[in-house]
Amino acid sequence: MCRSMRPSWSDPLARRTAPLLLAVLLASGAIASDARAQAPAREAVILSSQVSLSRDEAFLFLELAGGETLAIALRDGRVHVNDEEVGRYRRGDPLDVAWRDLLEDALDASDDQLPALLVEWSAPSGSEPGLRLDRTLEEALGRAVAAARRMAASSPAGETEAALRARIAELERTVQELRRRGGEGRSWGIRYEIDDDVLRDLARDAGRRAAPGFLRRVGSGISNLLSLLLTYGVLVALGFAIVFFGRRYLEGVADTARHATLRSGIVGLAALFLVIPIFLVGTLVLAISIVGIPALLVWLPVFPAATVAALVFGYLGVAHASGEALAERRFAGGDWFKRANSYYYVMTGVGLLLALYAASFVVEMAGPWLELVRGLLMFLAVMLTIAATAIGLGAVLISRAGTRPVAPSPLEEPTSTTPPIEEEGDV
Amino acid sequence: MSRRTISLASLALLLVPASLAAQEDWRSVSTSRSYQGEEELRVDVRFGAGRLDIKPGPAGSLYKATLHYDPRGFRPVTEYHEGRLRVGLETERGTRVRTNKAGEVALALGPEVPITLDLEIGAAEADVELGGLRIRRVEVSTGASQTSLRFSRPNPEPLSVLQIEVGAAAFRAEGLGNANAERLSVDGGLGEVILDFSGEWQRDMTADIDMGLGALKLRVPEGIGVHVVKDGLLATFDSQGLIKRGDGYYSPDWDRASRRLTIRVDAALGSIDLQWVKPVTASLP
Repeated sequence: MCRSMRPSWSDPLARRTAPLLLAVLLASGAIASDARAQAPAREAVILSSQVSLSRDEAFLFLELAGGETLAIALRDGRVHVNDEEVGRYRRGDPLDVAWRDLLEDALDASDDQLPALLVEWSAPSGSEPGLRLDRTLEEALGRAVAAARRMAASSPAGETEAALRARIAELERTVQELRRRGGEGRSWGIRYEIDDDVLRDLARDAGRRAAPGFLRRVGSGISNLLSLLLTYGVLVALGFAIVFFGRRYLEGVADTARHATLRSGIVGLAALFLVIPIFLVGTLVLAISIVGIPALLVWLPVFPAATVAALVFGYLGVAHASGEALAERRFAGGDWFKRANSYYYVMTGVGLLLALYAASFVVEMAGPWLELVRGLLMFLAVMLTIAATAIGLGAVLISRAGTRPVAPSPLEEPTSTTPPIEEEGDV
Repeated sequence: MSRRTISLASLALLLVPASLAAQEDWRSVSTSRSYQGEEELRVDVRFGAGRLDIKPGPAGSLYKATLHYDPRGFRPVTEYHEGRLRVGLETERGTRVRTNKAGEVALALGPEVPITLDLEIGAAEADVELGGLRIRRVEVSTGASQTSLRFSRPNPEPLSVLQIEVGAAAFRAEGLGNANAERLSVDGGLGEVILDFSGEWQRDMTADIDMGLGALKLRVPEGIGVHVVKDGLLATFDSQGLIKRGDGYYSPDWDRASRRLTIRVDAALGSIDLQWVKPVTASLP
């Protein structure tokens, strides 16, 4: 009986009039809310909303007055209302198009406009899931309008303020009560916990200090040696990569470093001193002109990256030159090793440049009585690194990154026609 | 038609459908909330690349955020919890973001709720209009961006902190007289910074400006008493009618001005220009 009294959604008259009635209600609600503009809060029909539109999904979520939520999604060919599948659709069919049009409008609509927009939406005729969505939206919004009206009627501004004041007073009483009952005890408890932590840390620290000095030194030395080994590995790997991809350029830098060592060193030192001023001046010149600001975005990361690349390339070039020189010296004494190539030079050269660090770490393990020797070795290692870096950078600049290497002067040319070592031609 | 023109036209014909297809894969997300008597709204916006618009929303709304982005490169952030709103686009890990594929975020803030705003903008174009909103605190940090911050209408709320950090960027703030701020702090890195102090002044203001490299332009409405204290040997200062007196430069009407602006500038390298502009009351165009 009751069911027959309800308007059927398939009845065109009911379908036309119900949204209109609801729209009128929403409009009157809006007017009422404007009249209460001075109240601290207005009773909104939609408390919050989310709309998501993509190729695969058209999703609407509403949090309505009265606490009801409504989630409608057209996703992967299925129509969902609050996670329940209520039908199917095809991409581009009338329901999909109409629902997407509605959500497109909802993306741009304000909160005030959204309820009316949703109520006025009509599903395409003949689409059962569409009619279901239409009906669900209008029923939910109808309930939300009623709830908003009830809330507006039952909570005038004065009562809200009085309720808030009462709540604040209650909270203050609760805080005072908590302080009185357990606050003291809890604060002491926290203090004891902190004291325990501090004592544990102190005990651990004291334990560490009480460990035998010899073991500590050996541990520290081994740790340093492992770090050095890692550095060696990274540099050799970089060197191998450069030999593989650009052996000619690395050899160009190495030759320049060997045959114009002093010049490379002076140029490299000058470049090291000038690199920061050049960076700052370049930045300033680009920054003060509007046209230069886009170029600044390139300059800021590229200049430091290019500088670091030149330093590493130069250092490896010096390592290559050192390795080559070492190989020649060995072969001058005897030919126990007939083959030599750039990979070998880089490997031995980097080892040679880092050898002083290794020696320093080994001496560190021996004991405090060799502290002076360790310090001296470390100083020499650092100086050697600076010198190699400066010479390498200078060689990179002079040889234009190895493209124009400095050839050996006629005086340096070997007198013998037989080379001291046989280099592999293909590497 | 030359061969080159034909080649370019063919390339364009090939690229246009590809770009349209890519656009179709984009996602639009909108989230909004009604004003329910919240005492404060703390807004955190983190935006890496693309376009960001912030403006006042209609009465009765708390906020509305609309995001348009490529889901293959970005992840939307729209979280609201107990008066705190987080909005932005985060880059998905392992993706290479191109500038022309960067997203868009539009945020409308309600005019009824007092707002604390924290903006972090990366390589983006940002237009931030705060006129008419109840702003209590603003912190803006920009990277390599082009940012415009405006107070087109007076801020009814006293603004305790207006803090601006500018990276390698172009930054323009207009209507600072409407900001109702007692203290303005600008930390400029590289680029051009324009500060326009037009508007309806409700209190005296002190501006601490620390500039790195670049140009600083100060636009002050006539009738406001100005005191400039400048530090930094390598920065030039065009004082435009200010009188050197003791520790700084003063406008001739400093002693009788009803509203005063004290500017302390520390600039490393670059130029500082002060311009007098005609006073504009309340709303700016």
